[in-house]
Amino acid sequence: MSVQRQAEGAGTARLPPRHIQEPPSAKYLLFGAWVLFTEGAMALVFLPVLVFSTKANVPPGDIALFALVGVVCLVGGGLVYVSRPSGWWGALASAVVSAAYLLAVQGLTSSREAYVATVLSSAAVVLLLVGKSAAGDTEALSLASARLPFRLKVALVWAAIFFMLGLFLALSDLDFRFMAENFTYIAKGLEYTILLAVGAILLATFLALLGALGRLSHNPVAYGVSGFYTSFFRGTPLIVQLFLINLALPQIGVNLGRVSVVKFLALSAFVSGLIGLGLNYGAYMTEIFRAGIQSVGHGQAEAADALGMTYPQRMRRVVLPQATRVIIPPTGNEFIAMMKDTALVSFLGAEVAHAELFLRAQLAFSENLTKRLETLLMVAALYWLLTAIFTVFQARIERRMAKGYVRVTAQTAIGGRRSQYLPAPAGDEQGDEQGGAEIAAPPGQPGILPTLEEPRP
Amino acid sequence: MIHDGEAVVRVENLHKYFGPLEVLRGIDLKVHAGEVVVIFGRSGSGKSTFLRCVNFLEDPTEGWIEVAGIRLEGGHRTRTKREEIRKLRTHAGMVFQQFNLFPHMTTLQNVMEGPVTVKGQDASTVKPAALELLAKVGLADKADEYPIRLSGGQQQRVAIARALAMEPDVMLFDEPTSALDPELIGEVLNVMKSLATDLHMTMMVVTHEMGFAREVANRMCFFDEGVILEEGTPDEIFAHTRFPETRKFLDAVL
Ligand SMILES: Nc1ncnc2c1ncn2[C@@H]1O[C@H](COP(=O)(O)OP(=O)(O)OP(=O)(O)O)[C@@H](O)[C@H]1O
Ligand SMILES: [Mg+2]
Repeated sequence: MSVQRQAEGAGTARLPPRHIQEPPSAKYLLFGAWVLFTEGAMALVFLPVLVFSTKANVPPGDIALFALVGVVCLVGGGLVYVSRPSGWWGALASAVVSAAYLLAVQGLTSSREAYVATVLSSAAVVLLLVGKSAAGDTEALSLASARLPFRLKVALVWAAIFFMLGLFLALSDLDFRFMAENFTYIAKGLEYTILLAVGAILLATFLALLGALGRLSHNPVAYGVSGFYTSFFRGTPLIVQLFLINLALPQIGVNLGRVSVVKFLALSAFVSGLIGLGLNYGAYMTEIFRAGIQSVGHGQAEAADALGMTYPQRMRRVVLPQATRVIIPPTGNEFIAMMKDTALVSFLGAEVAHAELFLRAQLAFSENLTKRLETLLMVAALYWLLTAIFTVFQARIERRMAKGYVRVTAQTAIGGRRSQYLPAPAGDEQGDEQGGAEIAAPPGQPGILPTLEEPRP
Repeated sequence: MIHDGEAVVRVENLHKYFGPLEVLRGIDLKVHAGEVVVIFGRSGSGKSTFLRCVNFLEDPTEGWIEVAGIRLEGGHRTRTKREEIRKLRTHAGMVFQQFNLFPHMTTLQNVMEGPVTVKGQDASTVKPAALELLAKVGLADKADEYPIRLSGGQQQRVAIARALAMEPDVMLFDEPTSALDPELIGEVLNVMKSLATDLHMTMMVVTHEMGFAREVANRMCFFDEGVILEEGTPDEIFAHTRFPETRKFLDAVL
C-alpha cells in the first residue's frame, strides 16, 4: 500500500508544476463564481414561495423576471470558467444586471431579501473585478481550486445551505422572538435527555456484555437466558416495552393486593425510561458484542490459554480489548440512535422539572398551538446538535483505538492526497517510513481517518 | 544417551480422537531436562495434535501427561483439573506457527503479559527481565513497537520471548518457521539454537527444518498415522534409517 503511494507521489512529482505561474487573483474569481451560484440557486429555491404565497400576491410577470435573474446568476457563475476573457465580461455583466434589477424592484415580497441578494450580487461584482487579471485563465482557476482544502469547500457548502434555510424560514414568518424566549425552557430538557441516554447506554453495555458472553457460552442456562432476553426485547416495540415497565408493572402489585409491591413497581418516567431503553438497546447490542468477540481470532485465545490465563483474564486482557475496537463504531451508532429514542420517554409523561427535551417541546407548543413549527424546529436542532457533538467525539475515540493496527499513517495518507495536484511541501517525504512514525492524525485534520490494516494473522 | 536431569515431560499411552477419527494412537514419550526433541512427519500425522495435548490445548481422550511434576489424566475436565491444567501451562511455553502476538500490546507489553497477569508479579520488577529477554532475541530496539510493524521473523522472536518470560520448564514449538519467508527463517532458528546451547532449554519442536534438527536435536521422533514410528538421534535417523516410511519422508524433504 505504501509502495503504491510512493509510486503515485513520484509520478506527480515529475510533473513540472512550477511553470504555471498562478495569479493570486484566481481565487477571487473562484469566490465570485461561487457567490453567483449561491445567489442563483437561492432565487430558484425561493420561486415556490413567491408563487404560492397569498400574502405577497406577486404578479406572474414579476415572478418570471425573478426566475430569470436566478438563471442569469447561474449562467454568470458558469461563464467564469470559460477559457476566454469574454466569459469574464459575461459574468460581470450578469452580476451587475442582477444587482441593478434587485435594487430597482426592492424585492418582491419585502425588501429584506432584496437587500441580501443585492449584497451578494455586489460582492460578486467586487470579487470579479479584483480577480480580473486571471480572467479566462482556467488553468489558474483549477490550480487555485485545488489549493483550497476540500474541507473548506464543504464548509462553504454547509454555510450556503444554512444561509438559505435561515432566509427561507425568515421569509415564512418564523417567530424568532418566541424562539428566543422559549429556548431556555426547552433546552433545560437536555439535562434529562443526556442523563437518560448516558444512563441507558451504560446499562445497555453491561447487559450486552453479559448477553454476548451468554450467547457464546456452553452453559445451557447462560445460553438460554441470554437467548430469551434478546428475543423478547428485539421482538417487541420499544414503546410497548416502555409502557409495560411504566404502566403495567404496578398492576402486578394491584393484582396481588399488596400495596408495598405496587409502590415498589411504580417507577418514575425517568427510571422506567432508563430501564426500558437500557434493556432494549442492550438486546440489540448483544449481537454487536458477540460479533466483536468472535472477530478476535481463535489464535489469540489459544495464546492466552497457553500462557496459563484464566477465562476472566483471557477476556479482560486479550479478547475484550481487541473486540472493543470492532464494537465501538456500531455501539456509537446505537448510542446516537438511543439519544433520539429518548424522545419516546416523553409519552410516559412527567412533571416539568423532570421532563426531557421532547416533553418540554410538547408542553411548550401545547400552550401556543400556532408556534409548533418554531418549537419543533428548535427541538430538532437540539437533538441534531447533540448527535453531531457526539459524532465528533466518537471519531476521536476510534482514532485512539486504531493504535497497534495502523501501518500507513494519516500523515502519509494526507500528503499523498494533496500531492495529486501540488508539489509536495518541503519536508513531506512521500515514501518515508520513519516520517510516518506517529499514529495519530495531525490536529486540524480530524475528518480524514488513517487507513486501517488488519493485523497479520 | 546422557541427560543432565529428570524427565520434564512424560507422555504415557496418549490417545486422541476427533469424533470417530483416532488421530493419536498410543504415544509414549519422555523428554529430559535440557533435551531437544524434534518431531517430524507427514501432514496430518498428528504432530500438532500431540504437541497441543501436552499443554492441554487439546484434551487427550485417554492417557497421562506429566509436565514439571504436574501429572494429569486425559478425559473430561473437572473444576480441579481445570486449575491443574492452568498450572501445568505456566510450566510449558508455547510458540505457534502464526505467532499469535497480542496486537493491541507493544512488544514489551506482550513479553510482560504472562508474568504480570498470570503470575501476579509487579510490572516494575518484570520490566528489566522482559527487556533483557527482548535483547536476547535481538529486538531490544523494538520494545515499544506494536507487532503489526514488525516482520514475521521479528514477531516470532517476540513470541519466543513472551513464552520464555514465564520461565517455563519446557518450550513447545509448532512449526515456528513455516509461516515465514525463506530469508527470515534463519533468524528464528538461530534464536532457538541459542536457547538450546546457552540456556539448555528443554524443547519439543515440530519442524521440517532438517538442518536445524541435525545440528541441535538430541532426539528425533518420526510421526506416522498417530504413532511414533521411529525414534533416535539425528545420526541414527539420517544415516541409519530403519523404516522405509521414514526414508521416504526424509528423501522428500531433504
Ligand atoms: N479440531 C479438530 N477437529 C477434527 N479433526 C482435527 C482437528 N484438528 C486436527 N484434526 C485432524 O487430525 C489429524 C492430525 O492433525 P494435525 O494438525 O495434528 O496434523 P499435523 O501432523 O500437525 O499436520 P501438519 O503438518 O499439516 O500440521 C488431521 O487429519 C486433522 O484433519
Ligand atoms: Mg501441524
